[in-house]
Amino acid sequence: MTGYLRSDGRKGIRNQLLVVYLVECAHHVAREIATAYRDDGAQLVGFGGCYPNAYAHRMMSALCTHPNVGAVLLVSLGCESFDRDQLAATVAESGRPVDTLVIQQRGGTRTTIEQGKAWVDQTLATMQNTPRVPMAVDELVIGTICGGSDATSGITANPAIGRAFDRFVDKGAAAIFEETGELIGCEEVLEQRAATPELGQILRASVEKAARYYTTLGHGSFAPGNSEGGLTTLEEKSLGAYSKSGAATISGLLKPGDRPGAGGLYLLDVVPDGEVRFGFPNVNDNAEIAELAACGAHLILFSTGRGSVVGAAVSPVIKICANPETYRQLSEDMDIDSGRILEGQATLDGVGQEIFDLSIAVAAGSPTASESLGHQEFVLGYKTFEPTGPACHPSSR
Amino acid sequence: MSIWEDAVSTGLSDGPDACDTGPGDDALLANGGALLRLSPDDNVLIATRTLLAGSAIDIDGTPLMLVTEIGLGHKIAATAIGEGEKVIKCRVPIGSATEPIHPGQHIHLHNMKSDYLPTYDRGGVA
Repeated sequence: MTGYLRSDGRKGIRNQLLVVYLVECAHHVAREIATAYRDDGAQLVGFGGCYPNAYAHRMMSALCTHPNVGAVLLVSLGCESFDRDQLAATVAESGRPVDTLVIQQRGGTRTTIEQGKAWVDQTLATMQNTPRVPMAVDELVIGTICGGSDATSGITANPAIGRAFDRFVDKGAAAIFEETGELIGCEEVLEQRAATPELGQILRASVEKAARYYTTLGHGSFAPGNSEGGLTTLEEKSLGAYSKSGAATISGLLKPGDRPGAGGLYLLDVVPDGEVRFGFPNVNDNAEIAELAACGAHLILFSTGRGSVVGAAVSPVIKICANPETYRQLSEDMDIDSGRILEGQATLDGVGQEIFDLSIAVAAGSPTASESLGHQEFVLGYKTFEPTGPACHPSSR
Repeated sequence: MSIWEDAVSTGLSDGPDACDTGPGDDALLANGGALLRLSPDDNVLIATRTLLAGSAIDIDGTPLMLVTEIGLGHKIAATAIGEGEKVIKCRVPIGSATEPIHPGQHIHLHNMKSDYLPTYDRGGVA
């Protein structure tokens, strides 16, 4: 396995050029630029809001300096609040090529698209020279999420991901699981698995925060498809979601944009701090994937029972299908068929090993199903977070 | 190969709430692999494939007939569960019964509820 060496010492498993719109009004122009180079490694991400948000800025800074990213083109309308100069400076400091196109200063849609394409064309050529160096498993950061869950998710794909997570943690990699709102009912076990009692209380508090948040909203992280798939309650869904975390000691709690200080297992707290505002914590799975990527995840292990087809910008997504009936319907969108466990053709340990091996192959450059199909979904909204304290990262003290 | 040697334990297996049924899962053996008991303490069984209404099943040696279709992954009662009693899956309470449930009966939104937050389906709160 080799990686693209970045100036901060991290290594990427991809070398993407990000085209970034800084407000919805610049979305079309950015998309026209990115789409023209979609097969050459250009990807589109962006933030739709016109009003400032510290979380969105932090997320975008983390994503634009993600190890899988080699260059960044910012597309601004001109009058939005996003601090484009600061973001451009952050990217430039990281040693990556960066340019900013302000549509209102470039003569409009057509000219900006032409200028953007010219920059991308030239930059993609120079990105060919990014040094590739040997990369070890302990340099990987792996994220996991479940989406379109049904009652098979918690029996096949999620515990198999847990086995793969145990293996990654054993080998010194960092592994991140998330969605505290889908751990409601698992507070006790989480607390007991923490590296320190202090961290245990923080983990418990993060789930209690999620429960309060969702109670105020009157709606848990539960979609109609979940119940149609046999899941009856939020805590039943949690039980399944929890099993993605495997059995390792939990080394720390991250918030979006925090990076794991060392190898180990981490919980990502995705529920905002403070009073409830800006609506649902995560409007869909890709909002969570973007947060995992912002924590430095090189690739994402995505478990699905009902059958999600998404991929993601920045970090490749490996889809592990939990339900054998779904797999037969959507096999072109899936990387691993863990429903075989229910049909007596595979074991949890066997599928765990398959997930680990495929992750290494994907890290070495092999495309995932969603990458081959051109998926690069991305969502970023408004949130508020307090910074994490030292008790959240006991191992890096 | 006995696939159930570890397939029925979840990632919880090494934690305090271990879900640790081994290869001798009685429910699985008695029903040709169609029903799964995730932990000996559970009062539910899980369908490993879609089971049609009228299917003959066996729960702890008692022959029963399914009254309704049970979808893949759905739960049926392994024992009689009283109103207000906890529904236990993988040794963990996943909610409470809202009415008395007979062995072999489908357990879902119509007869159990969350102890945390209400569950929504396409029609609103279940």
